[in-house]
Amino acid sequence: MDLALWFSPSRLIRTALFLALGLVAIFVEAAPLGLSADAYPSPDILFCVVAYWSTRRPEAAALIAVFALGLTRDLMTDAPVGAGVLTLVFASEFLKALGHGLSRRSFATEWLLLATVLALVIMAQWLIVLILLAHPPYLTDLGYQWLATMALYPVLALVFRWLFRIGWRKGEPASRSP
Amino acid sequence: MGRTASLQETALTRSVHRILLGLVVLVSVFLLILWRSDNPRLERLRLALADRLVPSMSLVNQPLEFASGMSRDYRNFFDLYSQNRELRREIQRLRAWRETARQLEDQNAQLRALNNVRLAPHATFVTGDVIADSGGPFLQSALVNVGARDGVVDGSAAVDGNGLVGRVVGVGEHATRLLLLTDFSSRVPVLVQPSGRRAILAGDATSAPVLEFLENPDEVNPGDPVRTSGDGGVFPPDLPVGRLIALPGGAWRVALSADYARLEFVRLLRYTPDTRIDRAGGLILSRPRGAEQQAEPLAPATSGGGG
Repeated sequence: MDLALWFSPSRLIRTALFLALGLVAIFVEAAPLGLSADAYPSPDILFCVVAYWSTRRPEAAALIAVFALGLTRDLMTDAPVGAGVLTLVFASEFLKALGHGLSRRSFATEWLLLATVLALVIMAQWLIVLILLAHPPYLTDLGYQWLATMALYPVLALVFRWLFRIGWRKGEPASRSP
Repeated sequence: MGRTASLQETALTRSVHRILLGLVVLVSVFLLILWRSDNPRLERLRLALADRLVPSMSLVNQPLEFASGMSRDYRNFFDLYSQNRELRREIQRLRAWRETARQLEDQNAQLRALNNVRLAPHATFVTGDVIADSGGPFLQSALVNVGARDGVVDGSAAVDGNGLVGRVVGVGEHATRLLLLTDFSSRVPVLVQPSGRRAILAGDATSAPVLEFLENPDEVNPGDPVRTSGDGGVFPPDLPVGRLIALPGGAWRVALSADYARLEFVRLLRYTPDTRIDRAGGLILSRPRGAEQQAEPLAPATSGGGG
């Protein structure tokens, strides 16, 4: 393995930026703004960050980094520990596998694809809780969370694109195909 | 770099990646099993993490709270005039009540002195700031920034100015996790006040938890105050919880007194139940003496001369 490339400073800095943004996303999700049971569940901001990085900068969103963020979120927000991180890791891996092919499509296509992935993630979490015979949350609440997240994604994508200057790389060969 | 070498490299990278993915799945499944079986190790892991992250969390929280507070104040600003008038009227009413309360207090003190009453519960409290909630729809819980260092005990009741909020389910060094009354797994023994009927308050992720196992529902009325009964010895008796709501079909719910929408500070009660005889020889061999002595200086000054 080319270890020098793997641990190059620029790559480490990008991973650190990814981790920092993920941590901020978790903190914002966990901020005590609506403690009453009727309050709308906060959007899944971490999913937006992970999805954006997995498609644009797959090498920074390493498997271990995504796992660490997902586990932190599960532990901090008391989601079913393990279900959240498992689904997040699989979603990230799937998006990385699609990789550069997505860059030729329009943003609307990307948005639709992410909406489908997020719906699958949420349904998988719900099913895991159901299978383990714990009390699953109301589907309406999960629906609100899905809507809020998908409404937030374009905004966050704009912020990442123009504030952090992270977009599609031009002219990069599809590195995944052998 | 030869072509075969780079091919080998990708093959190696792939197999490492596959092994990592397998490990991640294994760890997640293991954690899920721990979570489902309510393993105390997971709770400790949670609070160890919370202990680390609490200081940096407030950095993100403060601007967010400031913004939400501003929008709330902005709305309040518009009904300032009517609020002011209402408050003046209420002050007048409360002044009359204050006089009555003073008289009653004097009378109460005299009667207590006559009776030589011993006030049972040794209750002290720690106040903390709510720093995180479970953002997701899975659980209704909150994180408070006081912990074992400040004397929080597992299982304590958490109250705000108006009533019961929840109970402590995990204590870290600097952080405490609360299970709110609205969570699916919250169960609290309560008492419906004038009639003294007992019931269990069960959360179901709505803002008004259900009242289960209510004995003699004919004797209670909508609007009756609900308080903790103290059964089970976890919560002190007589903490206000809320008021009764009747639903069509004979179901009862409780409108909680605690203001969940504006919960910023909570008070965690340290409660030592009164002497209880729950096993053979319990009267002779009561709890270790050390625990009693520790609790003594914290007891309220009014605890009289009994015992």
